[in-house]
Amino acid sequence: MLATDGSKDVHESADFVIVGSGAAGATCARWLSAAGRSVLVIEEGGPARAARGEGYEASTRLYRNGTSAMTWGRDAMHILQGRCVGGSTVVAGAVMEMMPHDVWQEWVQTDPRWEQRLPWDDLMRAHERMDAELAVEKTPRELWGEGGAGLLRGLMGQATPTWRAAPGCQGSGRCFQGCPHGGKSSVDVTLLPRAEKEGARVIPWCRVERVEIADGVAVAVHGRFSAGGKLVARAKVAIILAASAPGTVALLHRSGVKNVGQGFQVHPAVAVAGLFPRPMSAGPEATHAMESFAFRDQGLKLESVRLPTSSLAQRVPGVGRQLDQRMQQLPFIGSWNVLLRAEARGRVRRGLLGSWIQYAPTDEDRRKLLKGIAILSEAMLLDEALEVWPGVHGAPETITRPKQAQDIAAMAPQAGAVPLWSAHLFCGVPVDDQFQACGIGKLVVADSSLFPSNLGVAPAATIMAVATLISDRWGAA
Amino acid sequence: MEPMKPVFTAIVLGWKGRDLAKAWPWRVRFYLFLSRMVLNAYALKRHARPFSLLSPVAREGLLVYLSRHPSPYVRRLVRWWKQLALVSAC
Repeated sequence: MLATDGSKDVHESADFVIVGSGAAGATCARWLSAAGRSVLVIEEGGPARAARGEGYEASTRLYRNGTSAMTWGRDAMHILQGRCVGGSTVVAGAVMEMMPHDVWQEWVQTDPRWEQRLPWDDLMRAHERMDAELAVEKTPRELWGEGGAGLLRGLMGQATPTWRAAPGCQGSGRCFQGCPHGGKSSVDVTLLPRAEKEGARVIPWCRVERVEIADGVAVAVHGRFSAGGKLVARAKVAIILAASAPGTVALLHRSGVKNVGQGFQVHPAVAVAGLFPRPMSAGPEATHAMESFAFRDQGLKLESVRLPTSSLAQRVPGVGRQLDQRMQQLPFIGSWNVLLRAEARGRVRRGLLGSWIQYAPTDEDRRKLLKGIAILSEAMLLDEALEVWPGVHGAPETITRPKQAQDIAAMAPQAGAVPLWSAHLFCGVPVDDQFQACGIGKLVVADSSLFPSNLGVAPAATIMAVATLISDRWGAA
Repeated sequence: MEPMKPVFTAIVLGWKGRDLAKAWPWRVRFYLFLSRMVLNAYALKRHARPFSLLSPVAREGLLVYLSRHPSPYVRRLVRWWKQLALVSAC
């Protein structure tokens, strides 16, 4: 990392200046530095340290806005994004699944140029390269835990172990707080150190305020350290934006670029929790041990999730004495997620307090989410849950019979009826065949803001594969 | 004193938290300040006194009422306070 305390002004230059050190930025840094290019990575957050104080340290040190970032609207959802060296890979569940082929075909049907920009065979080769780099493997049987095995039973075998980049996973279920054992292949312990060995430099604690554009070509980025100093970083070949979908759009807004932020999509998730007759957190379990694509034709993905105490308690209904009583049974509480490939499109807008996200699921999206909640609730009851808490406003707080779960699927969709959150964000920046944003020369986009649509799966693997292809092309340029 | 303490102790019994004001970004603190105004407005409307002057039972009752409120905006506030109370409890 660059040796500066950030209190003084710094002027730097490199072949490539990369904004953001998450999945996309670190991948670009890794392959560009391996190709012999000089690389500078600028990160708004600080070095990631595994949080020791349960959720509090992680929330304040590792997440953007202390996990309190939200979209705007009646269906407001929490936006969980990492803000540290390594970005969201530090606080994600390490799931590595490539985009489905039919989603790629959709992209090509919408715009045939995607076939040349991202040929499927090249994408798969890049994906295999990244899998080898991060030691991706299927979750082993001993890390399924009660939650993973329970999902498999509840869905009557229609679930499979997830592919994860966590070769040293000990099943502590603390991925969302930054792995305390270093067992996860987050990019801060894999790609970035390897890039630094090849000569790349990482600058933490520096927020990029704008990109300097002269005569339609990006020439430098201007940033400010949290300690007050300024940074000017000039790029000899290109500036690569890898600051996440909303982050890249917000930076382009600040740089005076118009017509960005439209068509923004998210991959919303809802949690269902239940009380079981057996301990759910007795043995080791991977954060996401098991997943099911059995309902993918309806846009649904179901997954098991092992959470630390403070996060699990958030899924328990009630406040005060009622919450206290239920917290006594916390070891017997399990939680699963339903994620939706939502069709709705929102917008990242520029406001007085910075950029904000306007987003609302369509009624069809809400209907599908209710269906997903009903499926998971039924699966929990099938797996002998004593009671299930679906968390749907207007439905019973506690359900104990399958018929009650089926009734949820039949409910009329209603704005804000279920608490949503999302860590997967897509679209918003139109790019050309060289992945340059909005026709601006040497301003390359490498994160999920360039994707034409929601993938319906965890996007890290696809982001890394796309960033690999972009690095190969620009590194050879 | 942490200004959210009356709310957090009503949500998580026995909450002993840290000084959130120092740790959370200014934007979060600003929204928390606004959310406290909403809570006090409901406390004044239903009990004719601000939230911090209510009895523990009345505080809990008000939060239960707000967590089942017809408006998704109000329900979301309670969920947010609960999230912050749980992650900051020690």
